Amino acid sequence: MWINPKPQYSVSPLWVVVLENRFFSILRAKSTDGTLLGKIANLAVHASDSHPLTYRIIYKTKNPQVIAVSESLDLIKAHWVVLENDILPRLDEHDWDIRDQYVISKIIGMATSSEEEEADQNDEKSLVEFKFQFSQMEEKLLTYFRCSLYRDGLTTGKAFITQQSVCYYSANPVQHIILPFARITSINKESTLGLLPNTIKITACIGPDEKTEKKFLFYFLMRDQAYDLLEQLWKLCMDEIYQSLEVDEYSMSSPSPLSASTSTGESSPVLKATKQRLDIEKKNRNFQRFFKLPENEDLLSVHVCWIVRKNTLIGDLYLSANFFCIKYKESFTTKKYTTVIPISKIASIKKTRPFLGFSVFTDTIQIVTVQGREINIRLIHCEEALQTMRRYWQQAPSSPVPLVIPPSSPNHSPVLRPQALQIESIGVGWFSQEPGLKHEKPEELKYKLEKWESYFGKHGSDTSMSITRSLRHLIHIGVPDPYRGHIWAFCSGAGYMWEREKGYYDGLLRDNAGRTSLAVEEIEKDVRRTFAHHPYFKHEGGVDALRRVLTAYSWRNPTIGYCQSMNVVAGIMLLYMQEEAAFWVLCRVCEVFLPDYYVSAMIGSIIDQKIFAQLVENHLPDVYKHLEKVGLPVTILSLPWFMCMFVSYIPFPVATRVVDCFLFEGTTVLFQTGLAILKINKQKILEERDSEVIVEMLRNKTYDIDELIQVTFQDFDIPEDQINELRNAHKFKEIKRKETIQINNAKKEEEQQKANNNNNNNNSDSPANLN
Amino acid sequence: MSNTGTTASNKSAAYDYLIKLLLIGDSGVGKSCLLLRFSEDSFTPSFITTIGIDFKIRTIELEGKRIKLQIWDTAGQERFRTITTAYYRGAMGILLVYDVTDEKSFGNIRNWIRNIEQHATESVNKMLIGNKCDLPEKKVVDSSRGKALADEYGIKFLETSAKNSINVEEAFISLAKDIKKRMIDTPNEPNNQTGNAQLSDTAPAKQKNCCK
Repeated sequence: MWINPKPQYSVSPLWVVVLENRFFSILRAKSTDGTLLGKIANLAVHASDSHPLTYRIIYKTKNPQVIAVSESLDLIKAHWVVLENDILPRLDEHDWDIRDQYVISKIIGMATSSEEEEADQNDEKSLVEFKFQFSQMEEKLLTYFRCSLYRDGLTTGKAFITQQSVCYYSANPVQHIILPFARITSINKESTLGLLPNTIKITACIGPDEKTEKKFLFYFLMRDQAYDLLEQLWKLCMDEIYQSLEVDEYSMSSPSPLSASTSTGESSPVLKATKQRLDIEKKNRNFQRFFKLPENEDLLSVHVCWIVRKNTLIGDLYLSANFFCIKYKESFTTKKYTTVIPISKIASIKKTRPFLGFSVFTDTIQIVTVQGREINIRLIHCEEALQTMRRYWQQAPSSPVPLVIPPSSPNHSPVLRPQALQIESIGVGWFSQEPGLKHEKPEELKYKLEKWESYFGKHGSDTSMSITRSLRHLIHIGVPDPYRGHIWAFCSGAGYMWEREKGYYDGLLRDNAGRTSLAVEEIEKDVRRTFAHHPYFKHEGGVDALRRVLTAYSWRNPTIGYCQSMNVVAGIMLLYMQEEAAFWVLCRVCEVFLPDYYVSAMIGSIIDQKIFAQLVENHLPDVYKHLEKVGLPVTILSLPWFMCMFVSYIPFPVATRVVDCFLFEGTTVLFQTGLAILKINKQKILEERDSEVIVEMLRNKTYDIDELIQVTFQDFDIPEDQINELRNAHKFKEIKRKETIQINNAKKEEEQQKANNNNNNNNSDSPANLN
Repeated sequence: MSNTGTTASNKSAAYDYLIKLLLIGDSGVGKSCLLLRFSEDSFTPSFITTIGIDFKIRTIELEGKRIKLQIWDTAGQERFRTITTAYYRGAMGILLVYDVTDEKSFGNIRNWIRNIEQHATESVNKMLIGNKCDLPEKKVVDSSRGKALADEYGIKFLETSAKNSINVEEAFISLAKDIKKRMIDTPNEPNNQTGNAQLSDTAPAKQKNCCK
């Protein structure tokens, strides 16, 4: 079977060359001898890529690529023939880079069609096997994965995945294990023995008592795919249980339309899930998360492409209705390097003539942005992509006025802001007048501004700006105040939402004008106690803007409504950007950056506090113990840190630097900063017995901002995956805890009712007794 | 040292006993302002919203004993209750605060009491506080109604003003006195056992254990 070319990383002694020419070779995996070690070695070979078959064809180039795999030598030879007849004759004509493009594009084309056939065959065969081995299961099979299970010895078999369970079957010795998602307590990617990098550890409470946790170590050959799917299904399952609990718990309050539609049992999303739907959902979600696009922006198509810059870079072009996105593949780094071009930022799209002496197999599309930046993309299936791009671009209403004001003109509309409150007088400038705070030296600011100007010149400055590693560096050294609002709106993805939903904010306010709700009452109590000492909020215009942003959000998302601390998030945004941009950043923070933090059960906050406490206990055990000892659980400190992104809980100029990084990199920054703050102050914390003094000290200390940022990123590199795994596991515990409380409450009620009945009976009996 | 009267003393000074108090009540009734008045004798009309839990400390002298009051201030918004109720159990005394200019905050006192019943120790001392009594023209909850509600639950009642510093000292100190009486002066009554242990759990070396 042809596959999308993947680098061949495996160590060569594990492979034997069967056949070879100048550009290609057929490899066979070394056979195994049946011992445990042999099996493990074999697994290691298989584990190192997602195509664990005996034979493979390698394209020999700078970085050798696997292009075809098969279990049978005959089949792989058939592929070989195709290579020799169709592809080989044309390779000598070109230099290596053009040759690479040609081979890779050809193989991708063939892989796409062969993948589809393969998938169909697998489904039928595995369905029969699943039905036979797990005849008692009535659930529909979604897919299966080849895997091994280490449990009193190593067995190899298949994990059949249904909507509700993982069913593992091995033929020798015969083993059937069913792990329902509702009983799974954690799913982790692990590399236990070093040799076996592709392990997934599942712990589950199965068996008669459903209380004892059992561990299952699976070696998945396609670990990442398996993990993604398992995690996805497990989360859906948790959400389902959680929602059913929520509806019970808050049955007094009217359920939101969202939870009402999903909690009606039979029509739940899980029950309707199919592998295909899950895949599409996952693809869209990854696409949106990766490019920070709005949550419902669906991916239309992906194209392999080459970006023509100083050096030609290979990448992928992702097309959706409102955004054309490019993800560059920097060689051997996974560092993010992307460009998102909102269609409203495109001045022209055209196909250009091929470069002289350049590839005859590809065409170049030139996109010119409204800022005049040219982006040249070389594509193989140019026409298809070009048509899609043109169609959506031409449909888009033109927007002559840039919505997010480019940073070269950092002044706000006088309608929204009184003239007296120009950018110079708001934001950190004002807070810097607080005693004990260090001013940024003019020459430092000048240096930073120059750096940013140069970045804007190279990579654009509006929402079509490219994200490179140097942007990350610029953000780590601190965004200059005049650019802060713009960069925050851009990095959070708020700019893209605004770009797409023009008029939405005004519409929300207009449609709900004069309405009242609990959220509106709660907001009213807080608008005058948000940065009340800041000139912007001393002005009635500032208070009005904050009220509008918060109420608009409460109408947008009634499941959240209003949660205290959203005033701080919206408040700080208003100090730096236009009202509507502040609204969109608030949306991104509540819905993407800090999911479930502000909902009425605050489950996201509670879970993250537990995770943070665990991280402190692991990384700074003495601080953790000391805080417990003085009666200051670390979560008391960290709850407001996280909910307010540290704003108001550490000096303002420090907090804004944390927000810079947080909106660029995501939630991990909050965990890392929290740990860094505790580490920097470790000595002082350990010396202090009085919890109140510790709180005051952390809040008002004069931090060396650069030291804090350095400790944050160098000492505590907490991977996002780790946080996600912990979140899932804690969510499960929290759900189980709620379930237990509800069961106990139900029992209590039942007993009470029985007691009441008995009383009634006694009462009704008593007259008879008297007789 | 005389056995009457109270005097504020240095926060970090050594103390004989530690008493934990808790402030609860709807958002915006002035819990944080009451606390600021009591702990630092100052007032700001635009205090920031309390997220989760905050606390302040003041050491007072009661009948010759130095008593460190650790006062926990809680977020008033309904949804924070899952977080704040976890700290009810450690409290020896609870101030239930409503705003005399806000009918709803008074009505919700019954909910707050239900929360106490669910989450706090049974013997915890309680006190009802009607704050913002400096605004008679806006007052909607009559003092007699506050008094009646307090009587119904058998707890003390005071109207206070954090702004004009009316009855704030009295409220905290009277509650502290009741707790001292319950837990320190007569520690052997059976319903006091649960709270006693906490008196000593963060005690410095100098502190006496109250139930020695």
